[in-house]
Amino acid sequence: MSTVRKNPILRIAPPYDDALLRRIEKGFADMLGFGVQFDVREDPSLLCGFIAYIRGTVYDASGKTQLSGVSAYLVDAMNTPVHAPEQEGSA
Amino acid sequence: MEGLNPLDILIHIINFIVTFVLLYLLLYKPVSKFMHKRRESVEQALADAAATRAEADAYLAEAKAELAATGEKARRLSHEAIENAALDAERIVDTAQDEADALLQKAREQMRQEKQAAIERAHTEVVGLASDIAARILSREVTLEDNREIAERFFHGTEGGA
Repeated sequence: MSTVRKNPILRIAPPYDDALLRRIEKGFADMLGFGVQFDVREDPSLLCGFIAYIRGTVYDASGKTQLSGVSAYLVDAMNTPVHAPEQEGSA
Repeated sequence: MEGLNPLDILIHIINFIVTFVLLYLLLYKPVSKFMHKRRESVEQALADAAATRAEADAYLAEAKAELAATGEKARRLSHEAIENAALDAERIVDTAQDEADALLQKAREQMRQEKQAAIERAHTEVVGLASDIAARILSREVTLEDNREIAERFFHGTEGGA
Protein backbone atom coordinates (compact mmCIF):
# COMPACT_ATOMS: atom_id res chain seq x y z
CA MET A 1 0.00 0.00 0.00
CA SER A 2 1.61 3.26 -1.13
CA THR A 3 1.59 6.26 1.15
CA VAL A 4 0.38 9.48 -0.42
CA ARG A 5 2.74 12.21 0.59
CA LYS A 6 1.67 15.77 0.38
CA ASN A 7 4.01 18.25 -1.21
CA PRO A 8 5.84 20.43 1.26
CA ILE A 9 4.17 23.78 1.68
CA LEU A 10 5.93 27.13 1.67
CA ARG A 11 4.06 30.17 2.93
CA ILE A 12 6.03 33.26 1.96
CA ALA A 13 5.48 36.98 2.46
CA PRO A 14 5.72 39.21 -0.59
CA PRO A 15 7.81 40.40 -2.28
CA TYR A 16 9.63 37.34 -3.59
CA ASP A 17 10.83 35.97 -6.87
CA ASP A 18 11.77 32.65 -8.42
CA ALA A 19 15.39 33.07 -7.44
CA LEU A 20 14.42 33.38 -3.81
CA LEU A 21 12.18 30.34 -4.06
CA ARG A 22 15.02 28.32 -5.60
CA ARG A 23 17.37 29.50 -2.89
CA ILE A 24 14.92 28.35 -0.20
CA GLU A 25 14.43 24.97 -1.85
CA LYS A 26 18.20 24.48 -2.13
CA GLY A 27 18.70 25.50 1.45
CA PHE A 28 16.22 22.89 2.69
CA ALA A 29 17.61 20.25 0.37
CA ASP A 30 21.09 20.80 1.78
CA MET A 31 19.73 20.85 5.31
CA LEU A 32 17.52 17.78 5.05
CA GLY A 33 19.49 15.69 2.59
CA PHE A 34 16.68 15.24 0.08
CA GLY A 35 15.12 17.30 -2.69
CA VAL A 36 12.23 19.57 -1.84
CA GLN A 37 9.66 21.02 -4.20
CA PHE A 38 7.33 23.39 -2.47
CA ASP A 39 3.70 24.16 -2.93
CA VAL A 40 4.16 27.94 -2.70
CA ARG A 41 1.47 30.09 -1.13
CA GLU A 42 1.79 33.84 -0.79
CA ASP A 43 0.83 35.01 2.69
CA PRO A 44 1.13 38.74 3.42
CA SER A 45 0.11 38.16 7.05
CA LEU A 46 3.62 36.81 7.68
CA LEU A 47 4.92 40.38 7.22
CA CYS A 48 8.30 39.10 6.02
CA GLY A 49 10.18 35.78 5.65
CA PHE A 50 8.49 32.40 5.27
CA ILE A 51 7.14 29.28 6.99
CA ALA A 52 7.85 25.84 5.54
CA TYR A 53 5.94 22.63 6.35
CA ILE A 54 8.01 19.57 5.46
CA ARG A 55 7.05 16.05 6.53
CA GLY A 56 5.23 17.20 9.67
CA THR A 57 7.91 19.66 10.74
CA VAL A 58 7.41 23.41 10.72
CA TYR A 59 10.31 25.71 9.87
CA ASP A 60 9.39 29.24 10.87
CA ALA A 61 11.37 32.22 9.62
CA SER A 62 8.50 34.67 9.52
CA GLY A 63 8.42 38.19 10.87
CA LYS A 64 4.98 37.61 12.34
CA THR A 65 6.25 34.95 14.72
CA GLN A 66 9.24 37.05 15.72
CA LEU A 67 6.99 40.02 16.40
CA SER A 68 4.64 37.86 18.49
CA GLY A 69 7.62 36.67 20.51
CA VAL A 70 8.81 40.22 21.10
CA SER A 71 5.30 41.28 22.13
CA ALA A 72 5.01 38.43 24.61
CA TYR A 73 8.46 39.23 25.98
CA LEU A 74 7.53 42.90 26.38
CA VAL A 75 4.24 42.12 28.15
CA ASP A 76 6.01 39.75 30.50
CA ALA A 77 8.77 42.25 31.18
CA MET A 78 6.31 45.05 31.88
CA ASN A 79 4.22 42.91 34.23
CA THR A 80 7.18 41.58 36.17
CA PRO A 81 7.83 43.69 39.28
CA VAL A 82 11.26 45.27 39.38
CA HIS A 83 13.19 44.92 42.63
CA ALA A 84 15.57 47.73 43.47
CA PRO A 85 19.15 46.47 43.62
CA GLU A 86 20.76 46.39 47.04
CA GLN A 87 23.11 49.29 47.61
CA GLU A 88 26.66 48.26 48.21
CA GLY A 89 28.56 49.58 51.17
CA SER A 90 25.45 50.36 53.20
CA ALA A 91 26.33 50.79 56.89
CA MET B 1 -71.27 74.20 181.40
CA GLU B 2 -72.11 70.78 182.54
CA GLY B 3 -69.29 68.74 183.93
CA LEU B 4 -67.48 66.34 181.73
CA ASN B 5 -68.09 62.74 182.52
CA PRO B 6 -64.90 60.67 182.51
CA LEU B 7 -66.93 57.70 181.68
CA ASP B 8 -68.10 59.34 178.49
CA ILE B 9 -64.59 60.28 177.67
CA LEU B 10 -63.49 56.75 178.27
CA ILE B 11 -66.31 55.40 176.21
CA HIS B 12 -65.42 57.82 173.39
CA ILE B 13 -61.86 56.79 173.62
CA ILE B 14 -62.73 53.13 173.57
CA ASN B 15 -65.16 53.81 170.76
CA PHE B 16 -62.45 55.57 168.86
CA ILE B 17 -59.96 52.78 169.43
CA VAL B 18 -62.44 50.15 168.42
CA THR B 19 -63.36 52.13 165.36
CA PHE B 20 -59.72 52.53 164.60
CA VAL B 21 -59.02 48.85 165.01
CA LEU B 22 -62.05 47.94 162.98
CA LEU B 23 -61.04 50.37 160.31
CA TYR B 24 -57.54 49.00 160.35
CA LEU B 25 -58.70 45.46 160.09
CA LEU B 26 -61.55 45.96 157.71
CA LEU B 27 -60.26 48.75 155.57
CA TYR B 28 -56.60 49.45 155.85
CA LYS B 29 -55.32 45.92 155.55
CA PRO B 30 -57.45 44.92 152.56
CA VAL B 31 -56.76 48.17 150.83
CA SER B 32 -53.11 47.84 151.58
CA LYS B 33 -53.13 44.29 150.31
CA PHE B 34 -54.97 45.36 147.24
CA MET B 35 -52.55 48.19 146.60
CA HIS B 36 -49.65 45.86 147.08
CA LYS B 37 -51.07 43.40 144.61
CA ARG B 38 -51.72 46.16 142.23
CA ARG B 39 -48.17 47.46 142.55
CA GLU B 40 -46.87 44.00 141.93
CA SER B 41 -48.98 43.58 138.79
CA VAL B 42 -47.93 46.98 137.54
CA GLU B 43 -44.30 46.13 138.15
CA GLN B 44 -44.81 42.79 136.37
CA ALA B 45 -46.43 44.56 133.45
CA LEU B 46 -43.56 47.03 133.32
CA ALA B 47 -41.08 44.16 133.42
CA ASP B 48 -42.93 42.35 130.64
CA ALA B 49 -43.03 45.51 128.61
CA ALA B 50 -39.31 46.01 129.12
CA ALA B 51 -38.65 42.43 128.04
CA THR B 52 -40.85 42.81 125.01
CA ARG B 53 -39.11 46.01 124.11
CA ALA B 54 -35.74 44.36 124.48
CA GLU B 55 -36.91 41.55 122.24
CA ALA B 56 -38.23 44.05 119.72
CA ASP B 57 -34.93 45.91 119.81
CA ALA B 58 -33.12 42.66 119.19
CA TYR B 59 -35.36 41.87 116.22
CA LEU B 60 -34.87 45.38 114.93
CA ALA B 61 -31.09 45.06 115.18
CA GLU B 62 -31.23 41.69 113.44
CA ALA B 63 -33.42 43.09 110.69
CA LYS B 64 -31.08 46.06 110.23
CA ALA B 65 -28.09 43.74 110.04
CA GLU B 66 -29.87 41.57 107.49
CA LEU B 67 -30.87 44.62 105.49
CA ALA B 68 -27.30 45.89 105.53
CA ALA B 69 -26.05 42.48 104.41
CA THR B 70 -28.65 42.32 101.64
CA GLY B 71 -27.77 45.82 100.55
CA GLU B 72 -24.09 44.89 100.45
CA LYS B 73 -24.88 41.73 98.46
CA ALA B 74 -27.02 43.74 96.06
CA ARG B 75 -24.25 46.30 95.64
CA ARG B 76 -21.73 43.53 95.00
CA LEU B 77 -23.99 41.86 92.46
CA SER B 78 -24.61 45.18 90.79
CA HIS B 79 -20.86 45.80 90.60
CA GLU B 80 -20.27 42.37 89.12
CA ALA B 81 -23.05 42.89 86.59
CA ILE B 82 -21.61 46.25 85.58
CA GLU B 83 -18.10 44.79 85.27
CA ASN B 84 -19.37 41.84 83.22
CA ALA B 85 -21.33 44.17 80.98
CA ALA B 86 -18.23 46.32 80.50
CA LEU B 87 -16.16 43.23 79.65
CA ASP B 88 -18.82 42.02 77.20
CA ALA B 89 -18.98 45.45 75.60
CA GLU B 90 -15.19 45.53 75.30
CA ARG B 91 -15.18 42.07 73.78
CA ILE B 92 -17.87 43.03 71.28
CA VAL B 93 -16.00 46.19 70.33
CA ASP B 94 -12.75 44.24 69.89
CA THR B 95 -14.49 41.63 67.74
CA ALA B 96 -16.14 44.31 65.63
CA GLN B 97 -12.81 46.10 65.26
CA ASP B 98 -11.07 42.88 64.19
CA GLU B 99 -13.82 42.16 61.66
CA ALA B 100 -13.63 45.71 60.34
CA ASP B 101 -9.84 45.45 60.04
CA ALA B 102 -10.16 42.14 58.20
CA LEU B 103 -12.75 43.60 55.83
CA LEU B 104 -10.55 46.61 55.21
CA GLN B 105 -7.54 44.42 54.55
CA LYS B 106 -9.55 42.24 52.19
CA ALA B 107 -10.87 45.30 50.36
CA ARG B 108 -7.35 46.72 50.05
CA GLU B 109 -6.03 43.41 48.72
CA GLN B 110 -8.89 43.23 46.23
CA MET B 111 -8.19 46.78 45.11
CA ARG B 112 -4.51 45.97 44.72
CA GLN B 113 -5.28 42.90 42.64
CA GLU B 114 -7.76 44.79 40.47
CA LYS B 115 -5.25 47.56 39.98
CA GLN B 116 -2.57 45.08 39.03
CA ALA B 117 -4.94 43.34 36.61
CA ALA B 118 -5.87 46.68 35.05
CA ILE B 119 -2.19 47.57 34.67
CA GLU B 120 -1.46 44.22 33.03
CA ARG B 121 -4.40 44.68 30.68
CA ALA B 122 -3.13 48.13 29.80
CA HIS B 123 0.36 46.71 29.17
CA THR B 124 -1.08 44.04 26.92
CA GLU B 125 -3.13 46.57 25.00
CA VAL B 126 -0.20 48.92 24.59
CA VAL B 127 2.07 46.15 23.39
CA GLY B 128 -0.69 44.91 21.09
CA LEU B 129 -1.11 48.36 19.60
CA ALA B 130 2.65 48.73 19.15
CA SER B 131 2.77 45.31 17.55
CA ASP B 132 -0.03 46.22 15.15
CA ILE B 133 1.71 49.44 14.21
CA ALA B 134 5.00 47.60 13.73
CA ALA B 135 3.28 44.98 11.60
CA ARG B 136 1.71 47.60 9.36
CA ILE B 137 4.99 49.44 8.95
CA LEU B 138 6.82 46.19 8.31
CA SER B 139 4.36 44.98 5.70
CA ARG B 140 4.77 48.27 3.84
CA GLU B 141 8.56 48.50 4.12
CA VAL B 142 9.72 44.90 3.51
CA THR B 143 11.69 44.49 0.24
CA LEU B 144 12.80 41.50 -1.78
CA GLU B 145 16.29 42.02 -0.46
CA ASP B 146 14.95 41.81 3.12
CA ASN B 147 13.32 38.44 2.41
CA ARG B 148 16.52 37.18 0.81
CA GLU B 149 18.49 38.23 3.85
CA ILE B 150 15.99 36.51 6.14
CA ALA B 151 16.33 33.28 4.17
CA GLU B 152 20.16 33.48 4.26
CA ARG B 153 20.16 34.08 8.00
CA PHE B 154 17.77 31.19 8.55
CA PHE B 155 19.90 28.70 6.63
CA HIS B 156 23.20 29.95 8.11
CA GLY B 157 21.72 29.59 11.55
CA THR B 158 20.46 26.06 10.86
CA GLU B 159 23.81 25.12 9.36
CA GLY B 160 25.51 26.05 12.61
CA GLY B 161 22.99 24.10 14.67
CA ALA B 162 22.81 21.02 12.43
